[in-house]
Amino acid sequence: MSKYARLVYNSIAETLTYRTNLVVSFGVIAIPFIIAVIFWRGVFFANNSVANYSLKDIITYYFIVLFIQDFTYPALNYDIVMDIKSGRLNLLLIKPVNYFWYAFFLRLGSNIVYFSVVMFFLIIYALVFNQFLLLTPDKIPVFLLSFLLSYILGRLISFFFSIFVLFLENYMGLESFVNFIVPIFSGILLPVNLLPGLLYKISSYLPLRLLVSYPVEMYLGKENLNIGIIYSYFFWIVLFALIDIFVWREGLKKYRAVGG
Amino acid sequence: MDVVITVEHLQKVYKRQQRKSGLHSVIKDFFRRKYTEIKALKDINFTVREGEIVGYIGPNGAGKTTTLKILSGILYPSGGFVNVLGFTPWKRKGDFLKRITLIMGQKNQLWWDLPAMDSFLLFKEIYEVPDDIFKKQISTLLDMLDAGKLVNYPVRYLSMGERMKMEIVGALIHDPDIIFLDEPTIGLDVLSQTAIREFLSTYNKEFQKTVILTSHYMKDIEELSNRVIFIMNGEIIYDGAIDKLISKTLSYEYVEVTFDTSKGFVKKSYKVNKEEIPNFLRKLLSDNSSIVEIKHKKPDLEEVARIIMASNGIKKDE
Repeated sequence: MSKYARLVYNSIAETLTYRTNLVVSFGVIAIPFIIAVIFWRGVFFANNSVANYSLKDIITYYFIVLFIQDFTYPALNYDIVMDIKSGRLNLLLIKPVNYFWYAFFLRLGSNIVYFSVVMFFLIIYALVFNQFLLLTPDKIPVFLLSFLLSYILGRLISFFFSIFVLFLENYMGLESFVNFIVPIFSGILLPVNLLPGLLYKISSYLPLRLLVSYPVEMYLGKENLNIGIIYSYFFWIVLFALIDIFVWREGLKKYRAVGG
Repeated sequence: MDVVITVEHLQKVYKRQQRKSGLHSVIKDFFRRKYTEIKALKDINFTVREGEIVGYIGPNGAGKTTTLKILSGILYPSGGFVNVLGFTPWKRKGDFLKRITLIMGQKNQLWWDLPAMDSFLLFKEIYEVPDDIFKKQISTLLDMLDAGKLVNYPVRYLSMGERMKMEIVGALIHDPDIIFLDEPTIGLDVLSQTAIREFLSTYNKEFQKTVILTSHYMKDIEELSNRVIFIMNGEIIYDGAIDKLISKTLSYEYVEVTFDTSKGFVKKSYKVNKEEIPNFLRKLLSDNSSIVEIKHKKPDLEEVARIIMASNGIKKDE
């Protein structure tokens, strides 16, 4: 077994250790989805469509978001943050392992558990309420390619936010910034196409919409994976890869390696 | 034996925020921060030969752990030259990292919720240890530490002493040439301390590994090393044999005398200037007929360290 396969195995084993914690935390996964469905059903009560989205589109949108957000959403990675703040990073730095890939595969383990649970929800939901989901199998290859690129970009941006903690005494401000800005411009809160004028314009200059909104809109057929978007993905992936390398190198020079 | 660690003019400077109390200072500080430079290491120079066990001691904040962190590649220095096994540590080349290890008494590298064996198997892959060598190394280490039964319990269920044994196994799986030990017995009970100490002593004798050890328990240092480097305020104030440090620092030794009295055997300890010990004994024997036993005892490293720390440096005791 390779070191990364072993890392994924350990991560899954650790995630499955605390059964009650796991059941409760996954039990609440669907709550934002349910709230969004209730809200949008209210909105659609008075309208047949909102900016080219039907109710079915919207419900499907939030369901796919639920499905992919754990992989592509660039939240602070608390494994990395705690490694840095607690000084646990010390014992990883002395190992011949690339920390980006270490953190990536560590996270992949919990991603896999999340994926399995959401898959379970998806099957149940599709069986019970399938009339509310838009099934577009022909869009799946484009969606998967976009999802893969979003996943890579999402991990790179998440790594950037997380290792930025190397420069900070306290990460709460960064955490608030990430938690406030990212949901708006990534499409977690609502499809980016529905953002009002100025916010929509800002979103077009940011890489965040590529992470959640784009893959889902491709599944819905609202966007096409044209060469311009692929260039855009590659531009941001290369840029954040370079930024990560730079921030990591400079950050380690500032690293205090707290604790004995 | 070859020199495996060379440290020349090593310096490490930290910036520390400075702030007075009071609302005015809080507001002023918000707009303009003031920092002071803390020189954690000022001008550190030493070499270590292959197979040596060196005790690296000093008070809290002296710079011991900072030195180990630089030698193991965790921290960048602010200046100076360091060479460990032919490598610059903070470049963290894979070939370098495979030949060193760092054991920190206050940090865990094992996965808390998993059996230690799961962590060992991960380290095996990280260090690319072949299956047969891994099995042999694990079995040797577990036998030496008498810890074979512990590998299948989640780490969080182990006692501190058991956990430290597992940490040591995990840190030595790749058979490193240099072992940096940062307070490996901190917080352990006497039995566990002894077990760890005995293991380290046997391991060094059997495999001739180079060890740099920091500890606040001077017994660790006395039992494991012959050479000690004493660091205070970021500077080395002594580098040499423990015996010489004791004789250099203290001019007295102890004479312990047991008297046979009407109340039974009574022990008394006298602190006597080294040069006056013959005269003291002569006088003692001529004045007392009830002496049963006389023992001559040198001060230990703990006493010496306490005096050096209290007087902020080595001064010949009078």
